[in-house]
Amino acid sequence: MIFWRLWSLIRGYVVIVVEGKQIEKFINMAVSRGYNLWDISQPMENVLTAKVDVSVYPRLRHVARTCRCKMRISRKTGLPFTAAKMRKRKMLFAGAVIFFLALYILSSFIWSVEVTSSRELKTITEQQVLDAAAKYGIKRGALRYAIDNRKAAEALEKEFMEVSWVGIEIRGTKIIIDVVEKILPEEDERSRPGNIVAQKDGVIKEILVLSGEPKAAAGDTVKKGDILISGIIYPELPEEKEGKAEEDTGDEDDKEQPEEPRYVSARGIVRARVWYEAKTRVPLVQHKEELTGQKQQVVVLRIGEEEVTLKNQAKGNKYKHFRTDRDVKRFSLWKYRLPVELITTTYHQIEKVDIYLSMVEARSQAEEVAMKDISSRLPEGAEVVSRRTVITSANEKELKAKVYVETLENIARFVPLK
Amino acid sequence: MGDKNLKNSLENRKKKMQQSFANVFEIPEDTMLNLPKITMMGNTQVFIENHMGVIEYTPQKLRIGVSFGEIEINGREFFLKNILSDELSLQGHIESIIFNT
Repeated sequence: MIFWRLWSLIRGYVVIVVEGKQIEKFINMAVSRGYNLWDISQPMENVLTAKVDVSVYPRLRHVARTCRCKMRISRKTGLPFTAAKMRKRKMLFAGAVIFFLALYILSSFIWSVEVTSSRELKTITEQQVLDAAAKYGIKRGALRYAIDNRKAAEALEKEFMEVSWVGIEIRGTKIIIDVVEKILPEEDERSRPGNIVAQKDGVIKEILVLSGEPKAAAGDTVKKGDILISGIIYPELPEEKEGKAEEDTGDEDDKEQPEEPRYVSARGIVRARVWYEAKTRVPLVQHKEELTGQKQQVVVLRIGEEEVTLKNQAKGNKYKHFRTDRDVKRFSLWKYRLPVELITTTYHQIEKVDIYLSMVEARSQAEEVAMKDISSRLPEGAEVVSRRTVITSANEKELKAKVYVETLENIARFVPLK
Repeated sequence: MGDKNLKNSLENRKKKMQQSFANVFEIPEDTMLNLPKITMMGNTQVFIENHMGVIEYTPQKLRIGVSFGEIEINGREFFLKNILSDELSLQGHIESIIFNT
């Protein structure tokens, strides 16, 4: 059915209005002659409107005459008529052609070039990439079809040593250059000569020297800042052994080494026992505020300077103790802020509660607080070996406690030599 | 169907014979007896095949000639969607269909 409708649109049809007393006869005659009528309706008595093919219309005239009906065309629809109209309005047609042509031409140029990367670019700047891309024809105003994005991407990859992958995507009139930078190992100060010093006071449990000369041994008590592994290696003084070894490796090293010490970047792991302590005070009577769950709301609409109360549950706020919660909603139209605000004030009722702690509770609370304090100071990888709580003083008002924690951790810290 | 009130007994007999012939050979009666085929979609659409022309057409009433007489369709807002020499489709609110033989 829909195809038939489309077909009739292409061929063109007219809406006819037939007036007369014998419209049934008109229908019968038209139909029996094989003229196709459709969408026949009767807006008024003895008036009929119908749709009919353009080619049929002149032949229907004869039918109308024999039925003594008046017939006229009320509307013409379809491609032939539209085309005829078009022919009369050439400029409109030309305008449409120009429009599509302009659309096509304009969309075949590149209008913007964008550089994206998943991580922030560090070694190169976006501008550098853009400049380089311009050399391969990727710039604003370039013809879209002339761009060989795969080739350009390869060229860009070669041009920048810092880049591991470049992807060029043409998205409409926009070019997106996706850059993935190489992740280079950080230029580390560890490659410079330096010592390993103690980060904290402690007792060394074990020491593992990767490079450098150890200055401390397991069991030593060290202070913060003490050198644990030295990066300066002095030549050993009397040596029969080394002389032999040196001979094998080469002569040049042999001459220089006895006089001057060798500088290396000390490396190693020094695990030591470290003590932490934290003091806490816990009052035995604690005042607390608890929400009862009761609340009241006041909603105010502010327009400019005027305030209108929309909802007022709290008639002068009846709670003795309460906490207020203000929520201001501003309205904006696109980018412009409107001078309208919706202010919702919520009053939460609270209850003041006194909590009396027992000694045991107070102690565990003190421990908890102290442990929280200590664990915030612990470095990563620290292993808690033991924990001790000492109550320093206690009376009916408060409890004072000290918490000692012993850990096993790496206290090595690299300090470069000057 | 249409053999209730036939006045002419001769014609009645002829019809009956045709019908029994159609029954024996299992030929659809509409082709054999030139009967109209009426298809309805709820009360909004009627398709009639094998009609013999429009007798009366107003927005409230459509009378169509068929082999055994006429079919009268009453309702509202009638709209002849399509009409060909042997079939038609009607749209509108259909209230009743009467067979006048």
